Amino acid sequence: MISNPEEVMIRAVRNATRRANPALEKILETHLEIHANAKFELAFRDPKKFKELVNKLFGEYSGRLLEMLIVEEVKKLVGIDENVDSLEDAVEILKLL
Amino acid sequence: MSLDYLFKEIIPNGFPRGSMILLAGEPGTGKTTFASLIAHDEIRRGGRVLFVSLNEPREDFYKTVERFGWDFRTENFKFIDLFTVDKDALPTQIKLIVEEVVKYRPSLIIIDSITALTYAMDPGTVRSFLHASLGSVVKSSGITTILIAEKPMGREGLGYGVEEFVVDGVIVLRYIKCGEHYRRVFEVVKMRRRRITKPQYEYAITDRGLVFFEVPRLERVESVSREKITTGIAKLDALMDGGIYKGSITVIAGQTGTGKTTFCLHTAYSNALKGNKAVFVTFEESVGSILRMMECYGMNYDSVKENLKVVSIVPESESPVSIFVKLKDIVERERPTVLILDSYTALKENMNSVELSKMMRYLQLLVKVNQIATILTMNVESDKIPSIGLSTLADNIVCLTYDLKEDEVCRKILILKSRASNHSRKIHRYDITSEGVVIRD
Repeated sequence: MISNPEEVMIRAVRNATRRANPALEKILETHLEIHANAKFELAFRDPKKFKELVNKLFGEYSGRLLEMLIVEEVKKLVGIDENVDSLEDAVEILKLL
Repeated sequence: MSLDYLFKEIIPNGFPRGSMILLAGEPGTGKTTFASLIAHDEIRRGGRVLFVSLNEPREDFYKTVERFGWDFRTENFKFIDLFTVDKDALPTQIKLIVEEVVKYRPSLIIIDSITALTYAMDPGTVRSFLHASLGSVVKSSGITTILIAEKPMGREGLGYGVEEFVVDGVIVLRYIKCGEHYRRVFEVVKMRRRRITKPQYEYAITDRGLVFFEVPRLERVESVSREKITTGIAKLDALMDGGIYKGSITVIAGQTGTGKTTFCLHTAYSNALKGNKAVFVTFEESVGSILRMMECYGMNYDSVKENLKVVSIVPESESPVSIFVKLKDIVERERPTVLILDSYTALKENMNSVELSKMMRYLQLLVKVNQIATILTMNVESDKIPSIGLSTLADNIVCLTYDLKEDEVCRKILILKSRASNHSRKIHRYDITSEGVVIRD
């Protein structure tokens, strides 16, 4: 059982990157470390910055695809079926739980 | 723009609106270039194009197409670059693409490539994706879709084998080995709602993108010119009943050292002096070498350079199609009265006979339609014309030969054939002097 919302997000990002392509997890982690001195927790703490860095690495639409996958993973992990479309919305929902 | 030819002659009236076309080919056959050409044409006609690429980042694409002079940085073009994903993430990726289609409302979608998009799917899922998810959106909106499929080298089939059945059209880009070169062949395997009369066409990739080998209509040119132009040698004009007809093809055949190139220089230079445009294409020498020869014979290139264009093409480095395309470009750009091709022999050494015959046939139609007096030189080892189809193609045949007599070379010229002319039937002597060719009585 995951109780910490930030942990939920970290797990969601990890699951999403693995779903997309297992090699992406390490690539993204390294990219975030280099450019923000952070890891996947950045997605929870500063979703806008996280998206910017993802887009810089993978391009706008691959970035959007990863965002959609992360949102799907968040919904799966917390068991909700709400109409959530963006990473920012997913963070807000996690904070309310 | 070569698409005018594609949509007029190859696929009349273009792709049916709302159709799904599979464009397959081996690596390097120009699938993305072809699709980009279609996209460029669609934008030019006022359409909107959504280009989904799973193969290259956006900036790489823009850099590539800018080399061909195509500007895609317009609001009527959207490039979506996506990484390839594993099976679990595929539905989300497809959802993203469909959402973008709905949002952007393009008239044309290109997916480069469907192989990369569906590689993790089983055949049933591919069929369902093409039919249901993507198919239903594009068909109901009348969006034409081009799906690029990667065809591994040496393999005949495409992808899963279901794509060909689901789509409305299948185009395959192929390499066909031909002597030392590869010919690129565009094949329309299937096209619903269009009548395809000839399925295969050759094309080349040039600095203008993908260019079709526009096959001239194989019909006789009814209007023939009665106007003659000079050969540049007064005596030769007299032997040929006043020169050579516009639109005629003349073969100058002779052994090495008989001065075939010199004869051609006379024709090109004299016509240029008279204000007629002349193009001298050399397949054997550099441009500098031809200009130096002119200088040796007292021909002042600077005085005619507006009318005389000298072009050097290295046939070893070109496929037959690209040579023809280059010649055609030159003819259409320069609109010459005289075209010299020196030599046919150099072409023959670098093409197989079928390729060469075909190219000569098309060249014949091209020069006849444009009324260009064309001269080809041919190296022969004896005083006979080799039977390679040129004798029927040629309107005029000029044979050059020589004997070695004691301490001198005795050069001889014979007008073997000159259609519709009361030409000399005698053998005449000639010399090559510091002023070029001098024919004796």
